[in-house]
Amino acid sequence: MPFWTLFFLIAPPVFLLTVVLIAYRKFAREDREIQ
Amino acid sequence: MSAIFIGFVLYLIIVFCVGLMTFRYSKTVSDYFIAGRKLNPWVVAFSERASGESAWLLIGVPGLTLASGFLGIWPAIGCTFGIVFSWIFIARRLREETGRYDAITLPDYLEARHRDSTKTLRIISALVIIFFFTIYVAAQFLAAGKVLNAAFDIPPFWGMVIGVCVILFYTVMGGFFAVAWTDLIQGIIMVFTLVVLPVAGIIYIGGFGPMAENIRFINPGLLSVTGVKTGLPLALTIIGSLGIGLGYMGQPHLLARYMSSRNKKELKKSMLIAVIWALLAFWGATLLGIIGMAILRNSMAEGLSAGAILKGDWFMHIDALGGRIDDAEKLMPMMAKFLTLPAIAGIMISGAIAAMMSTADSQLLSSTSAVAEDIYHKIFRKDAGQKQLVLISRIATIVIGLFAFAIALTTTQLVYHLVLFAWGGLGAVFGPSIFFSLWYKKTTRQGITAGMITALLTVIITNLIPVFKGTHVDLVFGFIMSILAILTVSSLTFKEEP
Repeated sequence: MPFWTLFFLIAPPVFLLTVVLIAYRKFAREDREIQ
Repeated sequence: MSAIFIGFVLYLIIVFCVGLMTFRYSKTVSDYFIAGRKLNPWVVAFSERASGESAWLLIGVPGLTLASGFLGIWPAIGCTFGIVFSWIFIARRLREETGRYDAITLPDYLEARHRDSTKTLRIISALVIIFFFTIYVAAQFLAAGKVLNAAFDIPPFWGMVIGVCVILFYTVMGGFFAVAWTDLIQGIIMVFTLVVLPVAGIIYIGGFGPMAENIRFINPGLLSVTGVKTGLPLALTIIGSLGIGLGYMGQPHLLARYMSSRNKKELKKSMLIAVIWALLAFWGATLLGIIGMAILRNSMAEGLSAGAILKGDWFMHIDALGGRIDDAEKLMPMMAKFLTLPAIAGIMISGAIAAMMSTADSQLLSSTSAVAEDIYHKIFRKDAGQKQLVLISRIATIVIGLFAFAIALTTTQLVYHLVLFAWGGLGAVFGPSIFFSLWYKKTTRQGITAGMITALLTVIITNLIPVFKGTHVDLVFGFIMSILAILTVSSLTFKEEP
């Protein structure tokens, strides 16, 4: 399969999952601080 | 009676039961429109996802990649980025703010946030919601007719009647509780279908290598993310496809899901569940079309007619070199029948109907809230009691549902164009308005009013220009114009409070 096809198949989900996990940790920290 | 039909009837019985069981929970308008802010994180996540994706995800996206190859990956990328952005930047903040203002609807929130005593924001936003959602619900009813016709050979008119009756029954009975709990069931069926079918398909074809080989034989361009397009048509396709994702943060029926969470903290768990759901479902739907294309080509290479291989009822006119079938959108039901047992295929085909219902019921409830709460209660009958308001809301649900049914019967537009128009209109009108109201202190009532009107006009005008018809650029243009209008007018009208 062409390189860019593989890239666009794999990179967006990996990137988005990473972003969401970082956001989750940040929100968890905020919620702990409020408590 | 076929196993597929039994699967569908079982599904209908379950949603009827949910309607009956949730009837007693809707005692106030807050219960009826946002489940009294009592939903747990799993229901919130699945309800947001099932309401956010209509039959387009199960039927339209696989059909798109079957017809255009990996060029069809751009909507999946655009949508998942939009979903993640909305969960991170809108969900928690909106839940917190609407809780603070005790706002049940988006017009409630906009009016309270901007201290709008003139009711301008409430009236404009309620009218936009009623206008676009009536079109949107009509499109979902049309889709119900088509799906039931394709699956069970029921005439489209009676397919629509069945869809309308089922949705109206459980929505009127249980309000948001019924809609959210049926969404949970519908969301599970949808993601199950979109994970199991591509996996079964890839096992059948023998892995990604043979899949790519079969597609390369049809046309090597189908393996590229730029497809066989070049120049301006390619640029418009990619921008438009990515732009679909901008719409998520402006859909009132999805924002209501954030508002229905028990509290702000639990939304982070909902976010994780919803994003994993979205990634599995969108990538599954995209790959399903590609794998379907490879299976078709493989079947022909084995010297068998693809029609015979695939039971002969849908893939009638396969042109192996062009990769065409008579109707690309029938791929999902056909693959389900071909790759799985009849009972499982029944559940999967019910999943397409479930996807349509889970979107239509949420939109119906949002337009009802605009009529019953935003206009009737907050403008004409401020002293109305909760019991009376719930009754009025139930009547409004029936009236709007029947009105949308009448539009579905008389429209000559394709479902796809109606959905595009409504998605673009709502996304452009509410997306920037909500984002700036939540995050930018200097946003003013005049700025939001200018933004909403500019977005609405831009979307309508863009749709009238032939070169942009059928693309999603109306939403992109509307979004940009709305941001410019909000920032310009707000900067001119903002005054520091003494």
